[in-house]
Amino acid sequence: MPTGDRTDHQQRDAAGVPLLAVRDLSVDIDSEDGVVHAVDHVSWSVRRGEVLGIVGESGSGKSVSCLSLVGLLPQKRTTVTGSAVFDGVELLERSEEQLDSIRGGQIAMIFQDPLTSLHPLMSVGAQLLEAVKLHQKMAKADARALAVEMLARVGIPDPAHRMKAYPHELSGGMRQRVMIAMALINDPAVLIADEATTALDVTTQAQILDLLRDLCARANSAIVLITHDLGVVAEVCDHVVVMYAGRVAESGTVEAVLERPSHPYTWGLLGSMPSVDAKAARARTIGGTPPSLLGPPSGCRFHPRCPYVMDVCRQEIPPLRGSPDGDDTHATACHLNVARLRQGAEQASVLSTVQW
Amino acid sequence: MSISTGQNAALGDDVTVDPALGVSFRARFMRRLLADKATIVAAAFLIVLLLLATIGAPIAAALTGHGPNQQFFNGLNLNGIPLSPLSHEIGNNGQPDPHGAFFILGTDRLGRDMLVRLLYGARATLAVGIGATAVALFIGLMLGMIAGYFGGKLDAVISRGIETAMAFPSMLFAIGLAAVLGAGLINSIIVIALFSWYYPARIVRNAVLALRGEQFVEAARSIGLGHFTIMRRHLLPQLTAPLIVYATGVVALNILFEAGLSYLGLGVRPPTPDWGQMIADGVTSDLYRQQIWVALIPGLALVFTTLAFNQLGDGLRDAFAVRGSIR
Amino acid sequence: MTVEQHRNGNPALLSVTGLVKDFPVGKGLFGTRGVVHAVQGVSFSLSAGETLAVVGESGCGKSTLARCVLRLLTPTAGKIMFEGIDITDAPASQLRPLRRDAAMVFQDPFGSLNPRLRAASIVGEPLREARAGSRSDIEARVRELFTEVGLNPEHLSRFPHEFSGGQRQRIGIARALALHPKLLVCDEPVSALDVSAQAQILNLLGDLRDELHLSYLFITHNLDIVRRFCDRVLVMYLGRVMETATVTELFAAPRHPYTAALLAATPIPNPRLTRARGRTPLTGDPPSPMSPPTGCPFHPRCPRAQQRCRDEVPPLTPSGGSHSFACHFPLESAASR
Repeated sequence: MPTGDRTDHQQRDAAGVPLLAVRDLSVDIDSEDGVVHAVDHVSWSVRRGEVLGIVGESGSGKSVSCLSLVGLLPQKRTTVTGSAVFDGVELLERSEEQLDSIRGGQIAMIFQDPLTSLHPLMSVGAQLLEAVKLHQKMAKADARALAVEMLARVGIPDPAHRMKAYPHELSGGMRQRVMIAMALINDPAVLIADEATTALDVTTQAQILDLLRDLCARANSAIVLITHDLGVVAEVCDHVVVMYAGRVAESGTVEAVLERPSHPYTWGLLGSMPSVDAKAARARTIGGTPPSLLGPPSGCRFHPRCPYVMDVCRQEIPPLRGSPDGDDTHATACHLNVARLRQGAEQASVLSTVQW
Repeated sequence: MSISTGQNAALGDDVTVDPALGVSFRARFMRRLLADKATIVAAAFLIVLLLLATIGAPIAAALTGHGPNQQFFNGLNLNGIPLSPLSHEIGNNGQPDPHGAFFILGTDRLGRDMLVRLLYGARATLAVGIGATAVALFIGLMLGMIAGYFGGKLDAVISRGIETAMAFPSMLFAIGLAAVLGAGLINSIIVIALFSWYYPARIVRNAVLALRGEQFVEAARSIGLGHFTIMRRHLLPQLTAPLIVYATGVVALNILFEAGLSYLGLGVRPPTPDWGQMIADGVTSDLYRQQIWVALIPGLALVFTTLAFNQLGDGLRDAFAVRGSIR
Repeated sequence: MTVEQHRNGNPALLSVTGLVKDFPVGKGLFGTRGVVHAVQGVSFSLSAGETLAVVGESGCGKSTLARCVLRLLTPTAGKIMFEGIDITDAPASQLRPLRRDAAMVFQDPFGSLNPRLRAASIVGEPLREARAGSRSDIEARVRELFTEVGLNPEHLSRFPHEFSGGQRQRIGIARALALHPKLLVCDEPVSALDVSAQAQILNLLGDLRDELHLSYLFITHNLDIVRRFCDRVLVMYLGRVMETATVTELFAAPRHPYTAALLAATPIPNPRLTRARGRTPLTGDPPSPMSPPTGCPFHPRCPRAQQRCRDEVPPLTPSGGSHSFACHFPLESAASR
C-alpha cells in the first residue's frame, strides 16, 4: 500500500473507526419467479485485527450481502442500496474498474469449494503470480519468491516444488491453503471467507481456522467469516452477527451472543446445536422452515416460526436495539426486547422464564 | 406420534409448503417456451407442414385438378422450358392461355404441377426423416442405456462399436448400401437409421453414466428393484428431455441425408415425388440456368424445414434448461 | 450358522467379520489398473435396539462399509451376517429378507429422491415391489408413513422439488420405514441440512427408534451427534477401525490419538469452553486411500508415532469391557487419569 494512505489508516484506527462499515445494506435480485429480497437493511462493521462472524442458515443473505460489497453479484439483475464504507471509501459507488483494483488487493475473498474457485488448467504458481501481478508492481523473480514464501506460510510442504502443481493434484485442505495464499499475497486489509471450511474434514478445518486467525493477527487485517456453524464462530470470532431471512437478528461480541443470547432464533440455533458438554436427551428445535424471500413474511420475518409471537410481530419490523444484559455492543431485533426496553420489569420476567 | 414442535401447537414441519417451491416443471417450461417467439414460429411452421403433407396434398390436388405425376404437355413453354410460378399453361397460339390450367408454383421438367409435387414430396421427406430418426433413437436408446448402466466390458464393447461406426464416412457407405438394397422408402429408412443411431447412443450413455451414481438410483437398488425396472422407471424419464431436444436436431440431419440420397437416385423411387429428387431434376442438364424455380422451390422448402427443426430444438433446450442460481 | 450372542445378551442383529472392500481404479485400454483398499478388515456387531455410530473423515471407508452391509456393494472378502443369515455373497434372489428388514437413509435430500416421481410413488415403491397388499392397502400405508414422519398427507401428490430439504429427508425416511425394517442404515442423514432442520430430523429419528424399536447403523463425521444420539461408536481411519467403545467411554477417555484429535477439533459453540480446551491440531493432510502408509495408517500425522508404528499395523486390542483400540502407544485409560 502507498505510504500516504498508511498515515490515514493509522489515524482512523486510532480513532476506533471501523475498517469496513456496512449500514442499511439492502439487496434485491430479479429472478425468473419475481424479486428476491435477499438482504434487508443490514448493518455491521469490523475493525483491524478483528474477526467478525456472520452466521445464518441457507437463505439468510449472509453470502449475498458480502458478495454485493465487492460487486460480485450479476449487475443487471441486482439492486443494491445502502452504504458500505471501506477505509473511508464508499464501495457501493465505485465503478467496475475501481472495484477491480480493490477486489483481490485490499479486500480478498475465499470461497467454499477450492476446486471450483481455482482455475483447473493453470498451475498453482501461475495463479499466485497472476494475483500478484494484478495488484502489485514487482519484478517477476520477486513475485515468484513472494509466492513461494506465501505457500510456505500457509503450511504447504515443499512449496517451491508445489508451484508447478495443478489444483486437481492437491487434496481439499491443500487447495484451501492455496486459496488463502492467493487471498493474502497482496496483504489485504479485509479477508472475507465465505464458508471456507464447510467442505473440509473436521481436523483439516481446525488447521485452516488456526492458520487464518494466526496469519491475520500477524498482518493486523480483519476477517469476515461467513458460516452456518456457531461452533466455528466460538472458536475464531470476536464479534458475531446472526442473520435470518435477510435481516440481522442479533449482534454483539461472541461471549454476549453465545452465552447470553436474546433472540428466539438464536435460542433455537443454540438449542438445536448438540453440545459436546451436555448430553441432552432431545434437541430443542425450531419448527418449520426458513421463508422464501420472494414474498417474505410481514413484520418480523421470523414470526411464523416463533413460539413467542405477538400481534405486533406480524405488523412491525422489530428494530435492532440494545439487549437485556446491559452490554452496549449487544443488540437484538425482537419485539420482546423492545417491550422490555419500554416497560422494564414486566417483560423482563417474560424473558427470564423463556425456555424451549 | 410425537413430532418436534415449538410451543405453538400450530407449528410443525408440515407448515404450508413454500409458494416459491411450488412452481412445477411444466409451468416453468411452458412459460419459457411461450416467451420464445422464434420457436413458436418454427413450431407453427412444422405443424402447418405436417398438415400440408398429410391432408393438404390431396386437397391441393383436388382443388387444382392436377395430380402429382400428371404431365401437362402444355406445361412447358415453346422452348421446352418449364413454366415459372403463377403461370397459365401455354395455349395453341404460343401464349399463356387464361382459361387453361393454372400453375401456382409453375411446372417441372415434365410439365408436372410443382405445388402438388412439393406437397406430396413433403410426405416422403418427412416420413423418411422422422421414421429413420425414430428407429435410430430406439436403437441408440437401448444400446446407450445398457452401456451406461452396466459399464465394464459391455460398455467397452458398445463404446468401441459407436466409435467405429462414427469413423465411417456415412454418405459414402449409405450410397453403397442403398445401391445394394435398392431404392425405396423402407430401404431409405433402414439405411439412414443405420448411420445415425450412434448420436443418440452416445448422448444416452453419457447421461446414464451420470445418473447411475445418483442417490435415488442407489435408493432404488436398496429397495431391491431389478436393473431393468430401474432403467425403465428411474432413468428413462430423466432422458426424455435431452432426447427430445436431440431428436429434433437428428431429424434435421436425416432430412438432409434423405434428400441427398434421393438426389443421387437412391431414395424413394420415381415417379413418387421427393424434394431431393426434385432438386436433382432442376439441376440436370443445367436446367437451372434457364428456369431456376424447378430447383429453387424444393431447395427452399428443404432449407426452411431444416431451420425450423433446428430452431425448435434450440427452443426446447432452452425451455427445459435448469435455472442457474446466484450462489 | 450360529446366531452370535452379543455382550448384553441380545442376539446380534448384524455381525460383520473381517470385511474387506477393494475398488479397481485407473484406466487401461480395456480395463483398470491399481486398487483402492476402501475397507481393510473391519469387524463389529450390532444388536437389536442398539445405535452404533461409524465415525470418520472423508476417505475412511464408512460409506463403503454402509453400502456393503446393505449389499449395494459386494464385499471383496469377509463375512456379513444379518439376522443369522450369511448375506456376504448371496445372490439377489436370496436377499429378500435383507431388503425387507434393513433399509437405508441417504445423505443428499436433493439427490436421493427421483425428481420425476411424486412423493406418494416414492414412499410406496418398496411396498409395490414387495407386493405388500392391494392398491388401497398400499395407499393407506403410504398415508400412515407420511404422517408418522411429520408430513401432511395432503402433500403426497407433490414432487420432491416442492418440499424443503428437511421435508425431503423425511420422505426418504418414510420410504425406508415402508416395510417395517429392523435396521436403518443412515449415511450422514443430516449433514446436508441446515442446523434447525438437523435437530428436527434427529429428533424424528429418535422418536421412531423408541416407537418402532429400531436399530441404527449411523454413519457420520459429526461427534456432537454421536454423543447425543448413539450408544456405541466405531472410529475409522483409512479403512481400518481405530477405536470402538460405548459413547460414554469414548468421550470420557479416548484411547486412540486420532479419536482425541477428532474430539479436540470439533467446534463447540461455547467460547469459554473452547478457550479453556486449547489444542494441538494435527499436522499434515489425510493421506489418499490409493497409497496408504505402511504400518498404522495414522502414523504420519500422529504426535505419538514411533518406529514401531511405521512397521507394524496395530491390532484391535480390547481393554476390558466394550472398549477396544488399535494403537501401539495409546493414551491413558480412564482409570489411570
